[in-house]
Amino acid sequence: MRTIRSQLLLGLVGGTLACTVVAGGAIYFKVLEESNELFDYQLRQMATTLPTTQAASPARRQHGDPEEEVLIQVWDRNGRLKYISTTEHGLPAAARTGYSTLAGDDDTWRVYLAERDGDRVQVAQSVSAREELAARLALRSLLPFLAMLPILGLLIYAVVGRSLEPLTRLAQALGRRSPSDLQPLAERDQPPELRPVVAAMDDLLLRLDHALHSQRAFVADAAHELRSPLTALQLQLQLAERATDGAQRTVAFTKLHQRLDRAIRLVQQLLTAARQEGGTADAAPAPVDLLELARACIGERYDQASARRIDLGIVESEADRDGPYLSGNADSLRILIGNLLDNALRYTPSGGRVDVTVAHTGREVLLQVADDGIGIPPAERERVFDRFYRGAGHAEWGSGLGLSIVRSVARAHGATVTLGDGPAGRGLLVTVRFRSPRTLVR
Amino acid sequence: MRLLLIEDDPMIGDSIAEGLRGERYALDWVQDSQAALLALVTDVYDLLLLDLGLPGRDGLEVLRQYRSRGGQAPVLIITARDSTADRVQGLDGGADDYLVKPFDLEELFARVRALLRRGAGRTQPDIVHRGVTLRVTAHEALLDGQPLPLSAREFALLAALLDPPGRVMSKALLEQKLYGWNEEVESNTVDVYVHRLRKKLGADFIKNVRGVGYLAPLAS
Repeated sequence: MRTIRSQLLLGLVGGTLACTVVAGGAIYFKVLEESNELFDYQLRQMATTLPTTQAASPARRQHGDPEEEVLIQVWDRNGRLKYISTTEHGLPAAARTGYSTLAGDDDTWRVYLAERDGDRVQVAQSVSAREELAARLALRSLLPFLAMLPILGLLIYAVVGRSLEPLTRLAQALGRRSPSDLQPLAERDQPPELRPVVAAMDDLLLRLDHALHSQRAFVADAAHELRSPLTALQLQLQLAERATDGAQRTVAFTKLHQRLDRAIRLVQQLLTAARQEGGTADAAPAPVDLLELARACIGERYDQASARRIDLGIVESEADRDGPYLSGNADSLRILIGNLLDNALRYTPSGGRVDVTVAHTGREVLLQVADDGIGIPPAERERVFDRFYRGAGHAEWGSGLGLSIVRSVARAHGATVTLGDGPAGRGLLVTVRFRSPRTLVR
Repeated sequence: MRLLLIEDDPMIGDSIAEGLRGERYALDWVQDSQAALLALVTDVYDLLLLDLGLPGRDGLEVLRQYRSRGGQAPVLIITARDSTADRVQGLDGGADDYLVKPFDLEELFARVRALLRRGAGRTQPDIVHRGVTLRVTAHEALLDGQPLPLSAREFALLAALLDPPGRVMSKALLEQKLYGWNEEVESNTVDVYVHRLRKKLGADFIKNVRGVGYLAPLAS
């Protein structure tokens, strides 16, 4: 793409030149027309007023200018040339009286023929001489303007450069910045034309700044959170090393495995959280059978649930046995359901019950996970969505990321997540409500 | 020596407790600040191990309340926060030492020993009194330079009486120093251990103050 500067310069200088040429042409033709009228009048005057009685005299130039030279010829009634104003050969008489144009040997002539007392007087003038005169006149009128052209060019160049200076300054201001410097640009200092651009850039910078900040906070939090499982791992490893007999060592290694599992789970959850926050919206949404997905997630956790004698299953609503379809990302939704199930299983005591409900009411799709575990006190029900927040009053260790991940997946699908009391007044009921027309297929 | 561990992380708490009990300390472990404040009402502890990242009330708040009630025991903070500001805040809040996760078990033991020593007003790592030397680090006892075989409970009882010596300690307090919450306390156990120690060290090494308790007198 051509630069604005070159476009402006080309347009302005080229336009000025084109205008000059057109104006020159117009002046030339106007002058030619007017001088033609004038000269024609002059020819007629000469033809009608010249004395014809005097004897033929040797030709002489009336004026020094060849273009003003006129050729005068007088014929008598017998057609004999009575007088010619030049020594060179003359023109034949025009066919009729009045104005006409005759082709000569090497030129075209404008003639006026008048009949006076039986004599015919013809006054002729060279057309090229007329044109030359008109051109000279036109050039003379344009001359001051042509002289101004270089000055005008310089002026245009300077004005264009000056007008583009804010753009240059803006580019320099942006170019000088370090990647971490996301301060807004000074919109006020910009010309009004640039303000929308600068405002849009500021908006982008602000969003970038927020994204960068939350990324940094996430990394810092993650590093901080990794310390705990690593500490547990290190301490247990040292205890295992100190074990004196086989039985002690077996116990120590079992605990070591538990702590390793926990560290691995935290890393996995961190990865999942980073992916979900990083925008899974990149993946094209596809129809997802939510009920089928829930069935698959439950199947994966059947062993885990039955080992603790937890009754884990689906409550199929009467309204929709086939299961509603959502438009979304199946992997993300699987993570959402999986996290809710893992939470329910973790905080439900042995012999408890975890119910999954998938319901479709026409305007919205509900996914509910209910357990009869320890529940979450109402005061904490908002904070548990915060990253790395863990509730008090239980000995279970969670990554503190599960519900945060659930919420970001839900948001990406235009869904809301609410926490309530379990069905029997204890435990927890998590409701994910898909009501965005974007995600509802039918 | 009886320690209180205040740590919400079940796995870290489990390992620390196991490690310190292996070092023959009586240790109680609580997982939240409320339980911690409740446990601290009795003030029998010789050392507090406090995790700052407690749920509910912050660990610093526990520390502040403990100190404002006049709690004297040294406090070792265990935390994942390692910025200078956090350390300063913890130390200014009344803590005596700071340990950042992840840490080494040996370092934890060494810091616990150092804090206990300072809490008892000693600058030497060993407790020395009237020909008896208790090497706290190695759990060894010497009598006039010769090895003195002591059981773990005998060692703990003697350390409680000698660190520092000259204080009269009630039987109940001595019992608390010997046993954590989950340990069964046998009846007359302090009397039994005092009897055994007297046999090994001489009858006048530990004196009985009738109706009050026992003391290791400063001079015979």
